[in-house]
Amino acid sequence: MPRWVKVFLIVGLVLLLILVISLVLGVKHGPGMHSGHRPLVAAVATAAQPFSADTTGTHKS
Amino acid sequence: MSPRLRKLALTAHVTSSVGWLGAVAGSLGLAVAAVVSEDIETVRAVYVTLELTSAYVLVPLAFASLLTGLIQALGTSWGLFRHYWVIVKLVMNLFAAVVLLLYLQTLSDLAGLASAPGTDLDTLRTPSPVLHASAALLLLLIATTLSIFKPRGTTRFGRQV
Repeated sequence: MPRWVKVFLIVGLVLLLILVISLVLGVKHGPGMHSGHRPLVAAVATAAQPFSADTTGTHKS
Repeated sequence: MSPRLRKLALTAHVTSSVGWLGAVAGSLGLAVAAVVSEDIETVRAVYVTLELTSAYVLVPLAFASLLTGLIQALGTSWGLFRHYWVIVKLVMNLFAAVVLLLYLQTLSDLAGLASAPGTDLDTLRTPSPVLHASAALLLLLIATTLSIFKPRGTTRFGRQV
């Protein structure tokens, strides 16, 4: 096997190891984990608050 | 494959692959703009644009690159498992396509958040798209370099031919 393939394999395995370790240690990563370091659902709920309060239909624009 | 068909397949592969690289570079530019901009409307527009371009430009180009690469490998003497550089490129392409598909959910969430009125700039701003686009760009640049230099090295299957 050529040396460059071995280098690629080592780099790939190191990256895989980092990913596995971060998953084992519980580092948050993946969909929904990138918004201001808090769950997106909570962030969206906060953002939508001014509108969700108006459920009586009294608000007229 | 006939020489003419082979050239056509190669053209399709180069076009889709380099197009993918260019689209990722454009996405990186947008993602950087979202991190450095102080204008919330710009940041909102970036996340909505990133979601659309990912779904309708990046994903089609990624799969076009994968498909045309497979045709190119299987239809020519290069083969799919005969040369290490072809295998490495295939693995990189598959990895990038899978990560892109998984990342669509994050981009969709970010676009949803950007569309929600009242979201502040700190909530919206995230370095994640910059990191993902940078990694994708690096990966695609390596793949392009491999295609041009075609480093030596044949596998067991390549030596048998």
